[in-house]
Amino acid sequence: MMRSLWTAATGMDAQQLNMDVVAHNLANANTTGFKKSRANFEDLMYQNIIPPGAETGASATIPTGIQIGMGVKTASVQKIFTQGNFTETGNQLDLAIEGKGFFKVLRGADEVYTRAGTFKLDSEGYLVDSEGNRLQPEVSIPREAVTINVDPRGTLSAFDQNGTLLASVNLTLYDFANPAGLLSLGKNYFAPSEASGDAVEGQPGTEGFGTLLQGFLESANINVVEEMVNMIAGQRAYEANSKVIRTADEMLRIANSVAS
Amino acid sequence: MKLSPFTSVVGAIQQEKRLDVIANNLANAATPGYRKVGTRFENFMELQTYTQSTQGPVHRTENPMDVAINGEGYFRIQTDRGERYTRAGNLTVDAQGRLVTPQGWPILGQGGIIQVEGSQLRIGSEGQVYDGENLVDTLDVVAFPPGVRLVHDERNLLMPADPNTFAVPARNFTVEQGALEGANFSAVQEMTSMIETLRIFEACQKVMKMSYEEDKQVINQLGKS
Repeated sequence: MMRSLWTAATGMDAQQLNMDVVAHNLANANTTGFKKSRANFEDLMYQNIIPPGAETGASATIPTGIQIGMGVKTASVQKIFTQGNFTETGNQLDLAIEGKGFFKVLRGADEVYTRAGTFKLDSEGYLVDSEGNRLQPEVSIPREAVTINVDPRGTLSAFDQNGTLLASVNLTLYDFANPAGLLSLGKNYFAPSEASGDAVEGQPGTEGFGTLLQGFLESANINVVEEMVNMIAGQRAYEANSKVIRTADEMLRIANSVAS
Repeated sequence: MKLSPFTSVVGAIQQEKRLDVIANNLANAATPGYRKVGTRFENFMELQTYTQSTQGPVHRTENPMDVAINGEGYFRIQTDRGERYTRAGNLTVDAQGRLVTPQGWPILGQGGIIQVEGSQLRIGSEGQVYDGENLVDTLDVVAFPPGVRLVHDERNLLMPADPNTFAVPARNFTVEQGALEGANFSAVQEMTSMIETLRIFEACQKVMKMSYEEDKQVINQLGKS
């Protein structure tokens, strides 16, 4: 049976997955702290029908042989942790990370990591993210606090209405050897995996960690035009692969009509 | 002259194989650094394949972990089956802080495996890898002497057809960070080859059919008298 039918099917599969990834990126164009994904493709194994260098006669060898590939497969869908743009919100509890690092929050019993810095206060005065999960290590803001100031190095200071300092804590960031290997949990959360390595703790603005920007949020790091271009390229590649199937089908039809 | 049905059968089979090769190229339209497998016919109807090493289109991704080679050369990759070569520069850092391919094979610098602390990776135009301000290593971009043929291993990797060939340092190249090289075939050319393949296949079938009809006539008419 014709190999090309299956080869083209792998190509169509790959482009379909590519489209799913692009759709997910575009759907999250307005998600705070969202990091885009990219499908990485690789070629499948090759069948060496005649290995290169095989002897064909007394002193003749085939210089190149016949190698027929079996198509394509997805190596990985990789998160790309480039910096997103900053959007000014003016909200004093909105924090954007400029550079590397994640906030850690406690979600149920699990420690998870996020770059979405939309913080609020819960009923007990603790800093929580938009899902109500507490920032780790926990930060509590005194009830009398009116102004909260976060400097780029992560020092959070709370002042009352007279400008008296009530409390001051250092916020901590976390990073991984390979952030692209983090497990996406949805809702902007990531969990460490075998591939990401363990979380490393650090102060903002030191040892390669990013700085904090108060009153700003990090937008999704996607570029709508780029995603659109990927979509068009993917669609055309899909079409080209479907034409291969049609051609292979036509060849089979012709072969079937030899003895009719 | 008696048309040989066997020649046309061989011809048709070769065209079928040629379509397989074209299908594999088109399936890899989105594979970074993919090298086209070309076909040619030698000694009348003997199909041969070769790996085309022309430059593919380089497009910006702005991802600092992506590198593309402009010009000649390949990245050296260490795999468990030995050293392999690739033009696919979609790199990542693994949990041990090594610079690796998406398959997890380490990419080699002039000093071996490249270890980065993982803060700010910067790659210079000659392949220098900076981790922050420190020069860690230089990507070992290698080329092969003229006449050396490369064949595909699986998973974006290439190897010399003759395992005893040694790579030499590449000369005419620049490394671009934040960009990836695409597959190096033209869709138009592949589509045209595909149509040609189909029509030659059809012609072979016509020859088979004529020969079949001829035999039928011979048997029927000579048999009557």
